[in-house]
Amino acid sequence: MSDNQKRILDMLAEGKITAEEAQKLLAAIGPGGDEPKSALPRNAKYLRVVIHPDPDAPKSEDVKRVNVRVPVALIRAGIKFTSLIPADASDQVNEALKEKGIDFDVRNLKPEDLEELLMAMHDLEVDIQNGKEKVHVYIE
Amino acid sequence: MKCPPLILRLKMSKTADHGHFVLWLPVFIAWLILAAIFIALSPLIILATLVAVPFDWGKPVLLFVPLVFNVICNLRGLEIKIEKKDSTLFLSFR
Repeated sequence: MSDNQKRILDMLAEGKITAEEAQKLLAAIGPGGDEPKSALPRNAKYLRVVIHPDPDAPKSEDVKRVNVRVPVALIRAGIKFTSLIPADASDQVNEALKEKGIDFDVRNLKPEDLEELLMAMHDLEVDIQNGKEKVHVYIE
Repeated sequence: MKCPPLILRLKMSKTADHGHFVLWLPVFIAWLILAAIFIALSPLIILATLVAVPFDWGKPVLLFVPLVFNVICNLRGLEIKIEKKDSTLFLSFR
């Protein structure tokens, strides 16, 4: 039971709120309460990217299936390389990206952002469908 | 610090004749060679770092090798499987 659920029940026991109000509040915070997720769960070890042909797409000869398992630690190690990019080189990279139509500042790429992304990915599975293939990205 | 992968398992198979071959490549030999090269070049790396400091490249030059080593250590567990219509390629660092 989460702290918030306990607090609502305490308020009900103390008579500060009615049973109906308590029910509404419990429904609002959801079944698991709103316990903060402070860190990536320990069992999240790999990022899995699976590409397989779309069953609805017309059959083609060059059917490819790709299944890649990347250790999360490897992604963390890779992202640390961004700290090595000197300021003037970052500007050049940003300009090159802008020429390709990508408006992104590589200086904003930080390990903390990755942690946040991985934490979100743990509860999320991304499915991309482009008519030929399906891409499935998830954390396991 | 994690131990770098010792073996690269490479498997190739053909769907048509059900034939396949598996290679267990001892990549730890490559890491030993790289470590020897790094030790031999370390005086030069220190010199390069000192030269690069005024140009704002000191930190990248100094930290490049430890970061590459960190990436190599975390390669363990990486798996890539590519399946085509008639063949399959599987790579795994162990």
